[in-house]
Amino acid sequence: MEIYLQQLPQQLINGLTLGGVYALIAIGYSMVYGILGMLNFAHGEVYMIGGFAGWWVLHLLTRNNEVLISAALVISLMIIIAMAVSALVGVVAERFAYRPLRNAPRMNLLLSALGVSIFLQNLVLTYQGAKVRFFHIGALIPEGLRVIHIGPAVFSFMRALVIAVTFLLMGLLSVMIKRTKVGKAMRATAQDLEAASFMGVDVNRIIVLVFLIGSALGGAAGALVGLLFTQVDYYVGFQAGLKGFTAAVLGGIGNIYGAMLGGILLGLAEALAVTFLPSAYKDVVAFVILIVVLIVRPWGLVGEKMPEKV
Amino acid sequence: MVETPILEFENVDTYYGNIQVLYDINLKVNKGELVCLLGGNASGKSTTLKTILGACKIKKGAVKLNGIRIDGKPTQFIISKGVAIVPENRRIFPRMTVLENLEMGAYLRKDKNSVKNDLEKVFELFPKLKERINQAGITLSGGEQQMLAMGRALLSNPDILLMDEPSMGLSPLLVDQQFELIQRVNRQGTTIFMVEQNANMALSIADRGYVLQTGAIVLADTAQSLLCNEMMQEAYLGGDSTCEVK
Amino acid sequence: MMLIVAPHIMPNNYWLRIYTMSGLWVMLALGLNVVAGFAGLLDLAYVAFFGIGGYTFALLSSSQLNVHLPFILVLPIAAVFTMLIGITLGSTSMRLKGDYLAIVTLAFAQIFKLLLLNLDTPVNITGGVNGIFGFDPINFFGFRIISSVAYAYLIWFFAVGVTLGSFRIKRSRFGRGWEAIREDELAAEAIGVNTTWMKLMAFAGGAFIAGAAGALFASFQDSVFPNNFDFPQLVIVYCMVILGGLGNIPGVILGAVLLSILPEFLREYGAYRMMSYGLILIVLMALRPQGIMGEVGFLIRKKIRPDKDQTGRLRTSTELYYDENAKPLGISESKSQYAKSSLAVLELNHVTMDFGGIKAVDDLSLVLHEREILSVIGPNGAGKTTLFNLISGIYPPNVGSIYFEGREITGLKPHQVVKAGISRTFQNLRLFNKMSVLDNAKVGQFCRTSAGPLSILFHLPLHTKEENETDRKAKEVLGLFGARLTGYRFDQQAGFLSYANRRRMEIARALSTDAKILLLDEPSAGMNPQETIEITEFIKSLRDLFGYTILLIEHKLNVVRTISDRVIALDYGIKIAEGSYEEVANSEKVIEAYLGRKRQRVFS
Repeated sequence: MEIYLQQLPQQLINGLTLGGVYALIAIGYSMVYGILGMLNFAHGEVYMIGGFAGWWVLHLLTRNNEVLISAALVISLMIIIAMAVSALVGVVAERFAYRPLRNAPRMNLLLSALGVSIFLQNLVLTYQGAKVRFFHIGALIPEGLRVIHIGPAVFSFMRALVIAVTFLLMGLLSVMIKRTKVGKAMRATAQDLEAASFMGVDVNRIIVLVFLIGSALGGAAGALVGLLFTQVDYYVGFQAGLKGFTAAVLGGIGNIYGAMLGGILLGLAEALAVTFLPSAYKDVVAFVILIVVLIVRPWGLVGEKMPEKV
Repeated sequence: MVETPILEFENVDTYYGNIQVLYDINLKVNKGELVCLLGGNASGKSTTLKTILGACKIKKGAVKLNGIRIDGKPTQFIISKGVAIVPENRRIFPRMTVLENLEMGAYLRKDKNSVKNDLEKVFELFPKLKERINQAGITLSGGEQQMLAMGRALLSNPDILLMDEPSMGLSPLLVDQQFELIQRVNRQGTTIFMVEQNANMALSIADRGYVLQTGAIVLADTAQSLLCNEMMQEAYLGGDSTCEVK
Repeated sequence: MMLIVAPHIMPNNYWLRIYTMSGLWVMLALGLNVVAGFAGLLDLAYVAFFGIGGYTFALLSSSQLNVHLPFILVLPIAAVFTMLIGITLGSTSMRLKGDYLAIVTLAFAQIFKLLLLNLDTPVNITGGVNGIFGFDPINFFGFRIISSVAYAYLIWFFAVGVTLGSFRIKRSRFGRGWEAIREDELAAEAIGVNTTWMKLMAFAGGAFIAGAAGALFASFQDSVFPNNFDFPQLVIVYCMVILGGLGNIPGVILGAVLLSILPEFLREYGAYRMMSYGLILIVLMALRPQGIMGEVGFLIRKKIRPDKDQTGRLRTSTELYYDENAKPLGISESKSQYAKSSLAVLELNHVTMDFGGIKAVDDLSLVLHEREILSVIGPNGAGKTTLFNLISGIYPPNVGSIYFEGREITGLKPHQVVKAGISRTFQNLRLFNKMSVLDNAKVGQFCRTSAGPLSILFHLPLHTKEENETDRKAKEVLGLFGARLTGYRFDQQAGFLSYANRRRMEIARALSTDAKILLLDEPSAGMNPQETIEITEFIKSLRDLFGYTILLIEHKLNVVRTISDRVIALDYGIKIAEGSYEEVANSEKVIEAYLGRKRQRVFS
């Protein structure tokens, strides 16, 4: 028991980092679900593409283990470009795969999303190959900053960075949704798409915006995980997608704050589970949580239980 | 009195895909009028509204707002030009507050000061709403939701207010309240075009009416003459019509 | 014929192999068609079922575990074992809605693959990445199937069997039940279809076929590897089914054959193959979701529609009314045979339904007598529809109990309530729009029939008898509505009926369940005055001539006044008045909450 207590602060930090990333992915699922009522199967691939975009930025800006420009700029560029590329992928998918199906049965939309997922995964496989790409972050952070000791816990620079960036992005999103006019329009569209259009809201633009923001956050998560765990390959989208989806469902799908909460809780749960279980079972934790939530409380922690309209 | 047409349909044909739904529709709503469009289910009433809002494309004719063609334009453009709608079943935003709902009504307006003014006017008209300003829409009673939907539409400061089946699914008491509300708003100067099945109620407050049957207008007259029309009596008014020959 | 000749005219072994494989793909696609096409369930574990069948065969007829069972035994074992796994997975995830089911099954498929890859240690069961190979040759009572031609016959024999079975099951109570679930699950349940059971049956059926196909595949390939049962195979089967059109049997077969042959011509573009499957899904969903075979124009006979004039314009229901005025309904005028009795058939005792603090129905007690017409009135949100949902089992009440004919029905599932004898209509019309008028009515008989898969597949007497009875019953019920729902309209899609006829169809569907109590939720909503008068008379005749007990929600006061024996008024889930129409209409509380002062003057 002693040893577990000693590890606890460390696992909390790990969980918070992981949770922040899951939350970013979960937001994309939740936003799209909230507005279109669909599960965007392809969101995991959007995340994976963000990871690749981040890798390419780092790769192109590194020569012989030296970054060509300042490390802070490289990291910023990695995140921004990953967000931009992922946002583009999400928006294009919406335009060509989902928008034509706006009034189609849900099953068709799901199948189309499945198609997008397969297409993107194999697109990356075809042009980037199956090999794992490593992020050479050694060049980014000076030796002295790499690890910060706080009591018994080790706080790596990357973890601090990931936590800072995820919480910054989530904060910005909250402010946008709550305070700005376009945020209000997004909420209105999610609650009643047609009524929003009657108010003069260009709902197509709002939907594009939702895909743009959700995908950009997914892309940011991809780049951040690359920095944290230093690798990416064409298949990482599947696991990440499942985790993000679990987080979204845990919080209450369709609810952005739920997605944030769900992500962080899932991250913490996984980190703590590793303390008690062999780490191979880490991924099983998410799956068990998903099943339990779906059966016991399918509307999630902060979601509202809506009586089915009869 | 000089007639100023706000909304005009000139020989309009509307299609859903290949199926023609509206046939050669001509109608006009003048400034300050309360005009109703009557008809049974599938007669083309809601298609007419969708045509105004640009949700249905027309193949022939023209739809004009203040003399300017609006057919073929996107919904948000048409709304910005002065059309507002109280949709069927009111459709307020359930998890937004009363104030936020009202603000959505003014979504396209840039004149912040006059929006504030209009907001005060709406609260004057419906003091109940002011009491509930921070409550979520879903917690309002049926009557309050009606006021909110109406207030929301009025906040866009429309040249014409469209009402889609205002009595649909309402209890008798709420139907009465609803029509009183419509009449009151009209008397304060808002032009209203109302689509309705309840011919008796609609004609009792309207100035003029059109009757739509399988996509074509079969009758157009003043409300009073329609109430006394024999075909109307038989097909739409049932036994309890209130035709009073003046 | 072609199937018999085909193996012998294949140019070489390479094409013979493709021919045999296409038979397997047909089997697999038809199996998936049962789950995804018929029942509309997005089952992404399907490929794992294929794998379970394959590995079951591999383990039971090879040296891997040193078990050597004969093929004639292994094939059914593989199929049934896979089916059991399917049922287990299905029963844990059946409560989940479409998207969630997809995720859970996807995760299952992933776990299955992990197990295949990792169960080579500590005990070697699956052989890990190296798979299992070298199986016992198939021996059918001395006939050894070794040659490629023999395999071609064997596999196509099963493919044809699955095809025949698919056709039979589609035109049965199962097929109709599934179609109803796909169209509107809640309405299906509320009209007597045991939706949970039927979805499980679809899962089981799909798994059974996949398991058998897996065993055949394993034997044919003489080896199994984890890679044979991975995501790409799943995507290919889905593409086949969707290309052919979900639920469309000939289409699915064509889709399977096309997609097993076409890639052979595009081998040099192999790298793009999986990408193109993704594209196929996207493009088909956007442009032709019904598949290549769906709604082919020349196959549909053009019928003359009396509800259209020469120019093809729809005539109004009002005009039709005058045409058919002579005999509006198929009910002969005769004297009332039935009237209200004082025997209580339905009793609600202190029932409360609480939606997170909002009491939609609050401590409500009511009694419905045999052959009574009881109307429920009240403002919007007073709990009228919730009351119906409580009686019909859609919501279990938080507090209180409900008795039907002395038997407690509290907490029964909706389909059990229907079977007990209570059926309902929906205020906002929930017909199975893409099913024909006749099939809509036939679904109502689901709960009165019991033919299982074997009866249906082999057309046993039970199935035949029940089908005849269902057909007769459905036509009889629709006949009550005269030309409105009979004749050429039997085959019309319910969604194409006029609005008033759809309202009538709702009632017909409720009647076809052989219920004793009808719960009618605003049957005249949206009808014009003429239609309202007609439907009012019809509802009255259901009691007077046929002895139904009727609980009615209605806003039109003239309807309520005309037909009610008794009226109750609800407000905020509480009964505020009960008695004759006059008593209720004059009740101070009812005037306050519902009628308003103005109405009171008009109506009383």
